[in-house]
Amino acid sequence: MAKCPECGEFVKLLGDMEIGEIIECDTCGVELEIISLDPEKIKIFEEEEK
Amino acid sequence: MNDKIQKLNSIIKELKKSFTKKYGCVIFDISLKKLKQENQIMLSGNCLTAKQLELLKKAVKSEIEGADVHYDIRVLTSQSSLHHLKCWGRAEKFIVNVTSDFEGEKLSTQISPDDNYFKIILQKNFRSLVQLDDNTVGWLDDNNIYVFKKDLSETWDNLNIVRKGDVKTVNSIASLIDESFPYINQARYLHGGKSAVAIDCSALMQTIFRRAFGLILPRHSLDQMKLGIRVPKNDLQNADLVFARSNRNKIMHVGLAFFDEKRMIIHACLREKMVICESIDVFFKYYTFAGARRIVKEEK
Ligand SMILES: [Zn+2]
Repeated sequence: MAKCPECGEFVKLLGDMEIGEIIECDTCGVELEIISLDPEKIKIFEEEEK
Repeated sequence: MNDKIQKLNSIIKELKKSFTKKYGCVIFDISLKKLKQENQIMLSGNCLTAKQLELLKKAVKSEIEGADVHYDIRVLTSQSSLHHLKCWGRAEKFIVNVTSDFEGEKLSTQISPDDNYFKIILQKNFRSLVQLDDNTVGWLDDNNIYVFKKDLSETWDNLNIVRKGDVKTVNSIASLIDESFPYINQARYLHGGKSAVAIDCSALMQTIFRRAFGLILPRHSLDQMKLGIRVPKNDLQNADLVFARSNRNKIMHVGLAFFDEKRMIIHACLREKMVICESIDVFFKYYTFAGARRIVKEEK
């Protein structure tokens, strides 16, 4: 389990998720990027400027 | 109370300044009124987008403590404002640029006479601020469009919009692939482009899904990434939307899985500056997987 940096709630990562995958926090809806699977680490996803 | 009002006024002023910079217009007309009850304030008026209202509420919540703030603000691009606007338009020329800025420099998207009617929110100096049926808001030149001074909102009544959780059943996924063929090795990559000549990655997805099934996808890849259902990388199937970030600049990208005999992907490629169909294994040498979504499935 990893904690959402925005709202502090736990975010469940599934076994078939990949590093780099963008997921949404079920509680606050913020977009999160998976940066590590073991240990589970996520950060707020930031879009690059085109 | 007075310092709260002063603070609220300065929040509104600052937000208005930043939105004016973004859209080149000032549809953020919020007035402030003290209500009869102690400590109650009413903010009313018009703003352009739901995001603007959200930012206003967020700023008020974080900066004004203990005040009871009420809102009566019309969001001009919301569904409920659809019948409020009596001016609609349609593209007159084959490719009409829609830009995010008033000056016409930052290309958001392009429209053609085949596209649906659009809402005209504001007209200024022979430019119109419009909202398209995929919710894109931007400016275009009045001499490229027909203007209808009547309510055409019924043309938006039955839009087949794809949403989160939706997987639409379609007759044949092959028609989606057929629609993409005329673009492969023909259309060049153009950020903001949406024509047979030049197109970007998310516009290509929008175009082929609309032509094949009449489905409306949002304009940006990040919004497309929220549609339908999540698909893990090892479960990709034909017609899934594949999202990935460029290894070079981290920009989000989208393509269509084309898994017929081989595992391929069709996408408007930044690297080749063209729409191409290439092996998905080659694709993942240049891009890092960021997610996949399924929005259609074939009728059994
Ligand atoms: Zn959260």
